[in-house]
Amino acid sequence: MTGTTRILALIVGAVFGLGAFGVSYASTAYAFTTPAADLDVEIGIDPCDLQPEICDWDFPVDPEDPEDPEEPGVGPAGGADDYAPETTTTTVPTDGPTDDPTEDPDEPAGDDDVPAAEPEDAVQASPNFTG
Amino acid sequence: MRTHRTFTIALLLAPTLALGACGGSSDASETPAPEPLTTTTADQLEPAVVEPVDGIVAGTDTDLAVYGAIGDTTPAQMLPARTEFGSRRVLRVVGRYGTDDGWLEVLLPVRPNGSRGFVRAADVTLESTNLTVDIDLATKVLRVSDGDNGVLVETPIAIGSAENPTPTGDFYLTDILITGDEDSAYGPYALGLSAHSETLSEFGGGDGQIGIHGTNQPSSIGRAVSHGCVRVSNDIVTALANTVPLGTPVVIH
Repeated sequence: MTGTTRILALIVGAVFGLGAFGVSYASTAYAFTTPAADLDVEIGIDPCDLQPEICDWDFPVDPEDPEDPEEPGVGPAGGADDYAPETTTTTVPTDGPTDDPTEDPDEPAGDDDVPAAEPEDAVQASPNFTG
Repeated sequence: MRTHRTFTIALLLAPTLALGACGGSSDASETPAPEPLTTTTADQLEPAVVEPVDGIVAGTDTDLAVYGAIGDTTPAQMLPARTEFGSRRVLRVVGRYGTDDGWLEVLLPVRPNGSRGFVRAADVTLESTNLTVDIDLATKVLRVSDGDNGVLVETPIAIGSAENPTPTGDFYLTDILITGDEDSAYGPYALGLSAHSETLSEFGGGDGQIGIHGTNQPSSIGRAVSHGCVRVSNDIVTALANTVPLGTPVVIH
């Protein structure tokens, strides 16, 4: 093979190589950037309607991927064992009692909110005493 | 990217269906067989009262056999577990004979006034109260006393007229009735006594039972105008209903 032929072969190879790479890149980009709405049109259902909870999941971060902005630690990274359920924190005020300071602490709670109890052994009845 | 991942997972995950099942179990508790009544003959009893009986009340949740004398084997009468108004049955104890298997002498809420009978101590549960109600017909005053702690309530009353006087004697509280109508002739509460009118054998469909009750005629208080009952103000009868328990001794003189 002559030097000219080698140069031509390199040029042709580079052109076809770049073309193949472009096609591959374009298809990949399309697959990863097509909105779900477009896909929904194709299959006719919204997966979030089937299982809304999965649409709320967060996904783990690849620590080596600087473009992934999400926080790690939540979501099904490697199976059920890795799932960390969402927790709720309740803050208990510690800056003093919330009870009414005028209430008698010896009184049962909620006495002011309930009607007075009827006398023990009292029964509802129409008397017919001599009057 | 996240949307694509979500969609992929949506396709991969199959819908799940959680089935819940309700189950129940019932404990078949067996009611123990009632113990046979103990029998006691008069010669086995100590004849004297073994302890004070002031304020002692005998209560029962079942129909109660009342005997005419200690040692009788056949009841003279049966008292229903509830009064005609549905109140829990209690009897004022005026004598106590024997020990564990002894007898109790009780006042009966029947005519004639002052009727007494005997019940087996094993057939009742004993309660006690320090309160007494004293009704003075001469001064038309009702007092509630708490043992040695003195008078808790002292209030003017209306009493029976000359034609239908309030009976006198030793009685006790048999009923605490909620009338449900503060504007009625009985006010919000009416307390039934074991006493009965000596002149009226029936009244308003009843058997002439005497009561302490409120009134919608407060101006009648202080006068002898009733058919035998004792009238107090509505505030006082409310206080009484919340203070004096069933079986509380009531002395009318």
